[in-house]
Amino acid sequence: MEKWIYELIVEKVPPFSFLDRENAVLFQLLIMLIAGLLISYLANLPPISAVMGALAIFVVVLWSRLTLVLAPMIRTFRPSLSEKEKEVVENYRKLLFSKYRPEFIIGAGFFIPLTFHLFSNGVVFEHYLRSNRYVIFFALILVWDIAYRAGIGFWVCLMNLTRSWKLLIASKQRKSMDYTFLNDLKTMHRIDRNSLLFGSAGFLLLPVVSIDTTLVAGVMLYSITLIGLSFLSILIIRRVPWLPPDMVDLLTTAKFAYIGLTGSKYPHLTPVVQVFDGHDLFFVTSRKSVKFRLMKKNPRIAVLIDERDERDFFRNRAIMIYGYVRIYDSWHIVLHLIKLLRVLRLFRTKYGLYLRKYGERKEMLPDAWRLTPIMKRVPVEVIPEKVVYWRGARRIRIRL
Amino acid sequence: MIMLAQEVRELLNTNYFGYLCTKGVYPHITPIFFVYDQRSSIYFMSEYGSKKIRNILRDRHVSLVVDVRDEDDPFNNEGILISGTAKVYIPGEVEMYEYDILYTVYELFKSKYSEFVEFEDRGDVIVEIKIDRIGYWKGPFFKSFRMTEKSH
Repeated sequence: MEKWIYELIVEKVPPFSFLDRENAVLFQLLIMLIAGLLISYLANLPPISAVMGALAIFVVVLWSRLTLVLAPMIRTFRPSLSEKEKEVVENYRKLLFSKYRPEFIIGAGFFIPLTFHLFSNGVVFEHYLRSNRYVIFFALILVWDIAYRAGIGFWVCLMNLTRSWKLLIASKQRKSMDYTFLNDLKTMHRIDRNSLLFGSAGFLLLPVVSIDTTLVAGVMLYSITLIGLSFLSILIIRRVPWLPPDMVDLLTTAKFAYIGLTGSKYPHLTPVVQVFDGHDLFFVTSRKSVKFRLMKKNPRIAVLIDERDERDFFRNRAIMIYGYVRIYDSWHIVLHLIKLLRVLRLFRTKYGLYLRKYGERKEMLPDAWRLTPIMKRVPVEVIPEKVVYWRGARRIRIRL
Repeated sequence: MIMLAQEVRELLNTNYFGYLCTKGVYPHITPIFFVYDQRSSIYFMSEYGSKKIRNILRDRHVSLVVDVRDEDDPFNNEGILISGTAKVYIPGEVEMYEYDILYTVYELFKSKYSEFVEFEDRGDVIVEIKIDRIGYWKGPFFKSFRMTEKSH
């Protein structure tokens, strides 16, 4: 797979190639800062020029770092188990690392009008560089650095949004076991969050260009566009189901789940009722229960949801989710009120009869079982890390 | 010899599935077929390399739930949570005095899961769960039993 030019420089050009990626970025920062300060001293520029130059250099280095984090993440995706989604992810990677170097073309697309504006307007060069011809030459290198990285950022954000949208459409046509791996969806989410940071970092350039209103508008437009694209992409990717329809069906219809906690001496295992809203899995527990105490101590959890057939074991199926819990108590309830009301509605719909039976014999219930939401019982969300699914059952093998 | 409460024995003798929880980096749950020796041990069989066996070899403390669930009426839910200590028997590597255990367990499995047993050169490992304590529930009612050295 192709790599971005900046990645190739870091990998192949000494002295960067002698360092790991993190140190290469730090070294780049150091070189650029020393060069900037030296030039500003030799050309006898005002201190504000050195400060603003350093700020621009800092943005370049921050973007460089984000670029070097994003690129390997994009290359880690495994082929989806859905043909259509696999195609979407493959195209996303191909376009991002295309041999036609779109990020370079976009970078040049930013650089040319920017340079034209800087020369024709002249305010920035005059204010910071006293129109010194030699210093302007060095400043143009910095302008190119900014434009090239801005090109990468724009291209990545645009491709992220396209990928999320196409993936969501493809996910609606899934067959029983079609899906994109949970870890890959999480990586996409992380890439989008990094892109959000990339866009926000652009605002740091505002003090540098504050003397030129056109440039202020340009920087604002660029950053807001990147943030908007990334934010939309995050919203969309969160709507792509992380499980295939078969598993979603099991989670939606199965009434019981078994939750396992590490416990102290023995692990703790207990059946619970659960709801799945297509994305998140919830159960409720009493504040007085053993599991509440154990979850507070160690949030790691395993949840098993199964369908068992005592007449035909081969029809059994089960899903196990490893992860950790998010307990909705105290201020979490206020922050996630809409989500929790939706969960409450799901419980009422799924366990209507079950809850009525509780109501009928309320006086028989122990304190911990009373259905006073929030006060006594708290909703718990399972944040998945890994999922295991199996159908049928393995025969018991007796040694001959 | 210790005798488990009638309701506990009934659950163990009439149910085909149990849910085993072992300790690892994350807790691990898996449905199992099991047999009860009518005394103070439960046995299940599994592939040697399985996750649950690897977990047990690191930490012998396990939990097992056997339950009857009613989707419409919570007052009919009944179950037990067994906390116990596991011991792994590898066929072909057991001591002489353990042959009896293996033989008895094989017979119990053959009679309880006759349609689901197959014979193989190597065979699954047998795991004994020595019951240390039991929690029993029926609807909202809960009681617990502890199996101490003294009661053996």
